[in-house]
Amino acid sequence: MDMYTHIMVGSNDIARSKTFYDALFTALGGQPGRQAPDAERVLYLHHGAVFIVTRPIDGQPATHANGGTIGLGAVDPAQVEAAHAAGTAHGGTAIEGPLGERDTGLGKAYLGYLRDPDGNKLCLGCRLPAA
Amino acid sequence: MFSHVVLGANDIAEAKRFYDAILGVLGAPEGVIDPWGRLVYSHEGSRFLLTRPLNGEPATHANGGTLGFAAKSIEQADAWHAAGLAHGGTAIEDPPGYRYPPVGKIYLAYLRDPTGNKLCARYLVPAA
Repeated sequence: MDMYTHIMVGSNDIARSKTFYDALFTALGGQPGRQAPDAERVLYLHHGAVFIVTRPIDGQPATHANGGTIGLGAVDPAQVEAAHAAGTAHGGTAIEGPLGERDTGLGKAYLGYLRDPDGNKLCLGCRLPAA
Repeated sequence: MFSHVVLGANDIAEAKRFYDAILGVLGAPEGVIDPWGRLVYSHEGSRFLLTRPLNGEPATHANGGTLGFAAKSIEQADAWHAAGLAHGGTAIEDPPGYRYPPVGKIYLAYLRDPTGNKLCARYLVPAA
């Protein structure tokens, strides 16, 4: 059992978000999202976890956090690069410099950062074997 | 799917009191401070971090964002909520209780952490 049941991020344009996250999750080996009947949410089921993009229920604009990041796991550096490229080609923005190897404090990882069309910060990454 | 999640905190000590309490109820070990001053929890194969923002600006919560934690029972979800309220959290939405999504029956409890990040504990009620 995972620590997390689900993660939600806010969106100001569900169709725009679906274009972005469909490309991202497909590159990670997942499936396109399923839109809720009211078209206010899109759900992604991947590796037993749930990621949901939603219009805020308070009717106010969706905003991203400062200090927050959602890490999405990839199988290898090539998949990190493919997902990062898919995201930036579909409305995402590359941030935090080029993709590459970083020391996470718990071993090495290959990481790439981007923001979704609403500014939510994402980290694509995979662990690297110890040398 | 999720390799890790990071939330912003304006006061790491305050965050540690809050998250040690609510994650302790879920069975997680106490958080540790890493060499970068971040608060790190490892539980059920997942990692969860609290950090002061790298850009030096105040930590802010998202609007539309929620992080859902897995509870193993209704009692544990209730204890999670109570621990949060007793350690700097704020109750939001409806009180802890059942929700009926299109599939299944779930028990949910909602809190905001001391920085305002929206959290929920979810217990999936087994089908009768």
